[in-house]
Amino acid sequence: MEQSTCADQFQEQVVEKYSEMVYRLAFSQLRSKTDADDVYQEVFFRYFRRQPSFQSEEHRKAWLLRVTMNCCKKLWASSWRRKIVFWEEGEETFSFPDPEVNELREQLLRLPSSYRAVVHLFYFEDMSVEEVAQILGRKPSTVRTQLTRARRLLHKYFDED
Amino acid sequence: MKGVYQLNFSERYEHMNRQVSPAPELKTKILQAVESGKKKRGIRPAAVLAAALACLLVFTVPVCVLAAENPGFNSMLYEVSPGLAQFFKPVDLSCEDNGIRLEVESAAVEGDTCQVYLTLQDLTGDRIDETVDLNDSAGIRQARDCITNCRLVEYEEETKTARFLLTSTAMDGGSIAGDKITFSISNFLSHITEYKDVEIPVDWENLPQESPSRDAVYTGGGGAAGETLSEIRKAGLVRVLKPMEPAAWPVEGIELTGIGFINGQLHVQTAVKNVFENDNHGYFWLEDRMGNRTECLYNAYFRFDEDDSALSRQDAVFDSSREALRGSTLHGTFWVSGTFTEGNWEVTFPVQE
Repeated sequence: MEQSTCADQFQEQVVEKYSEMVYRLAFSQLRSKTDADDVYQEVFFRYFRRQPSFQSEEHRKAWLLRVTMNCCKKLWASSWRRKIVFWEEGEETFSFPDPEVNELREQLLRLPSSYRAVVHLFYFEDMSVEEVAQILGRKPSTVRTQLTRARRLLHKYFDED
Repeated sequence: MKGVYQLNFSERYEHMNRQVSPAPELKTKILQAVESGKKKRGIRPAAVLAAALACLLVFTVPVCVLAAENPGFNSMLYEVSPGLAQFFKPVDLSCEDNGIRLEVESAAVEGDTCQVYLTLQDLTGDRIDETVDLNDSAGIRQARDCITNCRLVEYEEETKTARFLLTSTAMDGGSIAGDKITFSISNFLSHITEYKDVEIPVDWENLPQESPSRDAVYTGGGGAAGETLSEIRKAGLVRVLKPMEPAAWPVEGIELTGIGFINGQLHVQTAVKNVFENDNHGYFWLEDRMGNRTECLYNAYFRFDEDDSALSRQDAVFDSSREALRGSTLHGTFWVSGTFTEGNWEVTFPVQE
């Protein structure tokens, strides 16, 4: 009983610690809050079902980020589903109170999905190019190129820096 | 406190993301689902419709014929159901384009992991050698989520053939037997030269106390100086040497555009052209008279507004003053690719026990 309680507490701690990280990465990749909700649940469901063992906390973090990206890719593949979503009434779209922030969000959604991932991990998760490359399974030079291209596409925001 | 309109991109992006969080009831749902041993999720109408469409296609349309003769149809089917698309994707064990053949040699599966040997052969020229690198252009399509990697295991000089080992492991731990895998490549690098431990002769005494420098747009980097890099990342700008005309040195494919001091730190600057068609890169270090090695504090990749988008610049920064450098030598190791080859290569094969 005591062991079970400790395990439950640890599970809660994992969810608490990585909730926002997983959700924000999913949200950065997907169009709607509902999709982000789905991916968020899927990621933690897989985590608890597989019970993977990790050498370090960094390892656990990297695993969660990778699985989040994989789950987002799976969701993108169902473009027919996206068309259906637009027809649904009451589809939950996420809107920020500030119109400038909404505009930034729209610009980011226009980026190729692979660029959005590197932008999020580099600028928000504060990862180095090498760390981003490891998470996404790309070479550091590819990540740098994608960051450069993303900045060109978002030039308005970088020109003002 | 800055208004939103006065923030740089990094700050704006952070400001946006701080407003995004999962609803508390989602967390509760997860923990409850784990306890009860099943996922609590309603079936969305969209999922039902997609499944219905997939069934309709299977029973009323000659899908296998369409998939074989129409790549566009296969792509569309992939968007409805990746599993169905891969099921109907025609097996194609070899593919030839631009005088290069990609072929499946063998595949073996055990439980949740499969290993596949693929060969890449130059039929007309000399574009493949023992340094061939798929340049992140390899794509893998499978019906299920897998962790995959592909590495070069052998090169045959006589036949100009490189052999790769593709390993794929199902993330859900389930058996991978019976799956069809589609593997594709769109370009590769080869004839990569390693310039190992190049000594760069520098007369430290003749370098100015402070070299001309300018601000540049920071595009990436890494190193031990976490706090410095974090500040640079937030600012989006980094102070770098003003590039000079490239100095004569033995590394072809990487330009040495400056060595000098900024605020008491040594900067060594390089530039690479046409970065979308090569992976030229390297690193520097210092050695003192005793042979002790000092790595750089950090690397900063950057660009100037007037730069061509295919140009990549880097400053390697050492926490070494001119006085500390007396008797030291500057060294570097670099890799430069000689050939960039493009094409459309794709194979599809079943994985069976």
